[in-house]
Amino acid sequence: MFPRDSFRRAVTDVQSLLGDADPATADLDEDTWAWLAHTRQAITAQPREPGRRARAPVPHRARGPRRSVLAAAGVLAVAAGLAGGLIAAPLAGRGPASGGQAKLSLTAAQFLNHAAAAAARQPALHVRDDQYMYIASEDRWASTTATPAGGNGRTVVEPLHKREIWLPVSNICKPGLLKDPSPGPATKLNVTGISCPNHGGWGYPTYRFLQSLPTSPRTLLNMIYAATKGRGQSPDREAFTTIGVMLREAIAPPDISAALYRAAALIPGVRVIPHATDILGQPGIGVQFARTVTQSPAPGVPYRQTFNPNGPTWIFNPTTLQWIGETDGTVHGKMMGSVVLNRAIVDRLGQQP
Amino acid sequence: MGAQDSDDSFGEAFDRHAPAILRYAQRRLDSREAAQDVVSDTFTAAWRHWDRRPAPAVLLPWLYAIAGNAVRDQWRSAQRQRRLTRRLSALRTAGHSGDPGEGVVLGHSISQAFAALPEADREVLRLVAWEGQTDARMLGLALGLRPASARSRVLRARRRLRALLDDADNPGCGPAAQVPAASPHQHATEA
Repeated sequence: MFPRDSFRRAVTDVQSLLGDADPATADLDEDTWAWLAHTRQAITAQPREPGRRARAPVPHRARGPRRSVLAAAGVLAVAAGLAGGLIAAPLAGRGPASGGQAKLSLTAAQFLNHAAAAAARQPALHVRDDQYMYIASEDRWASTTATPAGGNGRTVVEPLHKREIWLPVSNICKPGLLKDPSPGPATKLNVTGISCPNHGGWGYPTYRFLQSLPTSPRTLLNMIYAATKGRGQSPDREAFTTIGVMLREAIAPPDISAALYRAAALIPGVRVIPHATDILGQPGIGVQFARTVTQSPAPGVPYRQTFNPNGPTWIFNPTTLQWIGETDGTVHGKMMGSVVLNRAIVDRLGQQP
Repeated sequence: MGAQDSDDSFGEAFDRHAPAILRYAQRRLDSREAAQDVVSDTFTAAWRHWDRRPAPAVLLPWLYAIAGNAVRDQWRSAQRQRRLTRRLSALRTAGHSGDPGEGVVLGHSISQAFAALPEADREVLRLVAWEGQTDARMLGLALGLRPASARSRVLRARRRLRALLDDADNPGCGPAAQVPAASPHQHATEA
């Protein structure tokens, strides 16, 4: 049949054109084989419970009556005045008289609880299932070019650039959209190989997924620990990272945002950086997870947490206490990270609020 | 299906397919660490849904589809953006470090043409050329498409690649002018 012939011809042609350009033809090295063996063991040691684990589809749980609609068109308004008046003062307690920077004598847990209170005061949203979460940010990251063997090559700092992402609020089977000159052209984000409809999960949080989470910080944190068991370097680090995913490019109901901050406050090994700056040079308050926890030097001597000043840091607006972005060290003297410019619920892919 | 049977069949599938999934990830992501994350995420998801796995013959494209999600997770996450695949960069590296002579020139023009394609085209080309998914049904499974759609996607991607290559050979004329070359702020792929 003609179409099948043309398909076969196309396949052969594509293979002959691109076959030699395959960047991953090198044999796996010993370390990689060892890593694979370890990974296999780690995965099969986990319980197998479809629908209840980290990335499994999360069942839709009906919630109580919708909260009253306070935000026009679902846009997340910044209640700067409110939060500024109530929160900045206690934080700035012993701070300098001018310059507007708070001198913090708070623990990370105390600070995160203040941030949670500020988040909880955000107006509730009325969100329809057919809408999208829109997050615009200013980003700068470094990229390391791959070598044909799959190893790392030259590291290049990308210019500061705007990133915009649209993600479905209720069903990740609907495509999203990413406009970011760094990965390349605007890209439809399709998730395949999952059961549909699908409210997403810890790795792919939709508004509806976030809405389905408990507002009790301890319950929430325990769910995160369970969902991320066996992943990453340590349960605490993985929990902190997972909460970062919920906060970074997603929109959550105010009570859930607050619960996420309060859950983060319960994680051991988090510290506050009173005078952090974001990648645009704006002052902020940083929250950082300990990069490494060194072993106790002797019985009875406490474990020591070491922090890397260049480690991943959440940055909060010092006045409104809202999450404004994150930093992740410097490369070639440039600070890596992102700053959120806008978050909103919009009706269509590609629509700006 | 007993638990032991599941464990055994999963272990066999892991041993058989994990290297292919790692290469799949290496082709799309630029760091060893990110590629390993994809392998780990893919097989963790597979393990949790092992009771719903397809027949052994189509297990690999099923795993590719899951791995595709994991790769897009890396794409989606700003924090991990640094690890993002730079297909153009990788191909340029391949071209520059290759043997001197015609191959380098050829590799370079192919890399430019490849980079100018919409991501949906690039993805189907990678699956055909590098993952060896040459059966429309398998390709469809890996892409989340019906076989007929996968087939037409291959034809279209190849047509566009050829048009861009012809254009490179004959600058200033040729059918590539009609090809929607990728550019920022453009809907480069379709649902």
